[in-house]
Amino acid sequence: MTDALPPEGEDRPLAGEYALGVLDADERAEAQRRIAAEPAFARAVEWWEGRLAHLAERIPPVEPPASIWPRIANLIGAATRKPSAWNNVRLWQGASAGALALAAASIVALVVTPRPASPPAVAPAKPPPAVAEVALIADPATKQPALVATLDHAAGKLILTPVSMKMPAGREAELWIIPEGQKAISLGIVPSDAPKAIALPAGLTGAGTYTALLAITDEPPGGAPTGVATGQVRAAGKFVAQTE
Amino acid sequence: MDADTSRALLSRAIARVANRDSDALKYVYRHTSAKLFGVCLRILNDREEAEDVLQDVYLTVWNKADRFDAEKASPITWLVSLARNRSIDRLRARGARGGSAVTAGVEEAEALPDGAPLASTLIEDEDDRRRLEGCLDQLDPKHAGAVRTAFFEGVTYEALANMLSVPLGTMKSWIRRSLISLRACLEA
Repeated sequence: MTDALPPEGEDRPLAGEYALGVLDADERAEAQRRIAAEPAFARAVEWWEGRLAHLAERIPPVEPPASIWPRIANLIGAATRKPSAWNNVRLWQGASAGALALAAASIVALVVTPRPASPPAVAPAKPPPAVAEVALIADPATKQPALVATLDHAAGKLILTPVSMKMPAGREAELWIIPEGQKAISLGIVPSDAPKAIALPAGLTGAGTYTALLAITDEPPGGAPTGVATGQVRAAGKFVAQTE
Repeated sequence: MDADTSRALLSRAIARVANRDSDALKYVYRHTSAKLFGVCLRILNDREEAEDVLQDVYLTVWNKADRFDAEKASPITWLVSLARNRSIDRLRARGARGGSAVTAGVEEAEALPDGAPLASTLIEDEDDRRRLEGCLDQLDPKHAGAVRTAFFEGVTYEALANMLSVPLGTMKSWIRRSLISLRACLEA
């Protein structure tokens, strides 16, 4: 049954328990999974939150330190850039092909672990001029690359090319950028079978380019419900400064 | 500015945040951060953690502002729920790390006088608040007390039972029965 609020009786009022905040960590995680997956349950939780939040009236406001807003402003700088003409399909397809070629070359060039499971048999062609930079987003345990991220400064794009992205059943891959010493910011869901281009995050410009960490977590369909990662880190990596 | 106007302005600002307007987020922050920081501190009782969570909350607003539906929810209610949920998640993570509950108090002097920031009274629907209080008053006072404590502390059934020196099963029964009664009363 999907209605979390039975009309009457002693059925467990789980949505209310979640909203009140009495569930333990495991029950809470399960409830959050249901909020993401079951609209009726999500509505029941919203109903309770809308009612119970009035109790917070009694909580006195406290001015936060002045340092918090600048931190937030810095972190969101990314998405304030103007959208560009990235809807151009031909440009997109060209970029994808380029990204794929670069990805193939870069896997050979950059995987330096002692025991790569299956190194591509084809030797890389002479690399193209360094118009783009490449980062391998790899499984932290096996070092297997999951995703190749290509930085296209000219177009102001970050191109994401899945290599071998395995997610648990019912989970989607969400990409995050973690600027050094800061909080993760979602860059959205990444398809596991097709390249995707996104606007270049502000965290990947200037000096931040080589210090920001990119990471993939597994999240419920549609992404982490609260905008903060809930799943495990499945892959992570950074851009490495290129030396000629 | 009356409550309806502030509520409408805040709803509109959140809608603009969904369109990636950082000035709109700044507006939301300016008018609600003291309230939300109070909520985070109340649950976490730790300034540093509360600051972290507050930052998370506004990043969540930035990333998920499109989830806010002004037709269905009041903006301050939505934000307070976000702040509470993030704080409770942090509290549970703290428990999982085996850390002991932080008991350091929050200096009373830092609390602002009532009504100082816009958000303290802003946009609350006074009728809804009175109705909730009225329904809580109809519960057994011990049960209503447990509900309030649960709300303000954000702790698990188990911790709540310990706090109020009641067996765990009894506490679960109190809270569940209270929620069922509250729902019936609020929907009446």
